[in-house]
Amino acid sequence: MKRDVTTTVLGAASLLGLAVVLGLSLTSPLDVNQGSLVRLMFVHVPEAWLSYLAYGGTGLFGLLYLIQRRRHWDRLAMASGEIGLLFTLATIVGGMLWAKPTWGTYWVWDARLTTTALSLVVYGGYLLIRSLIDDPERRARVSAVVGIVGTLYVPVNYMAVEWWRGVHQTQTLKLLGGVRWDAAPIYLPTLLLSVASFTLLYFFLLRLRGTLAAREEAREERELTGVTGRVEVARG
Amino acid sequence: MSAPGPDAPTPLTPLPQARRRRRSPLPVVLGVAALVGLTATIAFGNLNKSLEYFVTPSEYQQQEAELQGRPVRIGGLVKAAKYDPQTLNLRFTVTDGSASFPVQYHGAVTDLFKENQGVVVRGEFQGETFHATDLVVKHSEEYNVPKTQAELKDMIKSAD
Repeated sequence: MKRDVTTTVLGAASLLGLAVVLGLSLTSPLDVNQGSLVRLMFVHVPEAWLSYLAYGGTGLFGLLYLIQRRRHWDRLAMASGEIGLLFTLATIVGGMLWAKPTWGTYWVWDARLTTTALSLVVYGGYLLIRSLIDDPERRARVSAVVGIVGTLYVPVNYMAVEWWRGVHQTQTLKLLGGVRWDAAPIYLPTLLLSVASFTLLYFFLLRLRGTLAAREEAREERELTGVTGRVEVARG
Repeated sequence: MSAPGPDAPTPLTPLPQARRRRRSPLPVVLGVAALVGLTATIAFGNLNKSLEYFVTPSEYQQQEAELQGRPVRIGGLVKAAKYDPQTLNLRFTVTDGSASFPVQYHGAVTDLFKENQGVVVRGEFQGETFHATDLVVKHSEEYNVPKTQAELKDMIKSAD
């Protein structure tokens, strides 16, 4: 088994980045209205970003599978979907802990929060569909389509705070219609570094899960051929 | 008539080993249950069956005939707030500039509740006054460090 240097480097880099972000976050100045609670932004926003990235990955790898029909892309799509689901959960839990002391409640059914909860259904369904189909080629084909359609969640969720009235605040870092940062400049570098570190973390987890899936598949193939081999021997 | 009848023994060809994994059905059952539960919660959790979370005071004024006597959410800015931390009684006016309603609420509010802050109140009108059962404080996406000594002192004081 050869050593995977890239994964190790990615893991080390994201860990280092996150450690620096932790230090910067805990020493960042307090917000005039919400005090130290503003530091939750440095976790909450990058978590949401990672989940978008991962769902985008599921769509992209699904598309690549449909074009090239290589099982490699299907494994990465699955890995990306799992990571997306995990970080959506993290976004929701972190967001709830931020909402309680600021909004006064853990949860509201506004457009942003409702669509985020819906993504759990979409990608939970994606993984469920995968588990229900035994034929690997068919599983890859069907789930690629689900994954591509599911990517629609990303723009809808991102724009939910603009399109519908709700409780969730709009983007602090505006990207559409001219890039603008609507907060004290001192918060920006920490947020950007955090987003960069979470991006590295995504690629690390993706490679890790992809390798794991490849090994699982190889073992399964080995067991299957092993079993048929033995049966043939028994039949003689 | 030369074709063999249905009773004719068909030659038995050995089936290839089925490519099937033996798996416990439990994860699938749990997954389906979780998805159904989540979908139901999302579908029925929405009070007004709309993606718009609240109406503004002016919109309420326009649609008063159809909204009257029903629980609604009204969102606007806080004016003339009077809060008694001992009895937890809160009275304020919610406004969007053109229309405003007096609001009555009983309960704790978060530290972000203050004059000119955005709020969403859920409840019903009893006469002219809106009796809120829930109050959610909105906050701006603009995070800022204190710019003056006075702001800094205020912040330290409110943190105590």
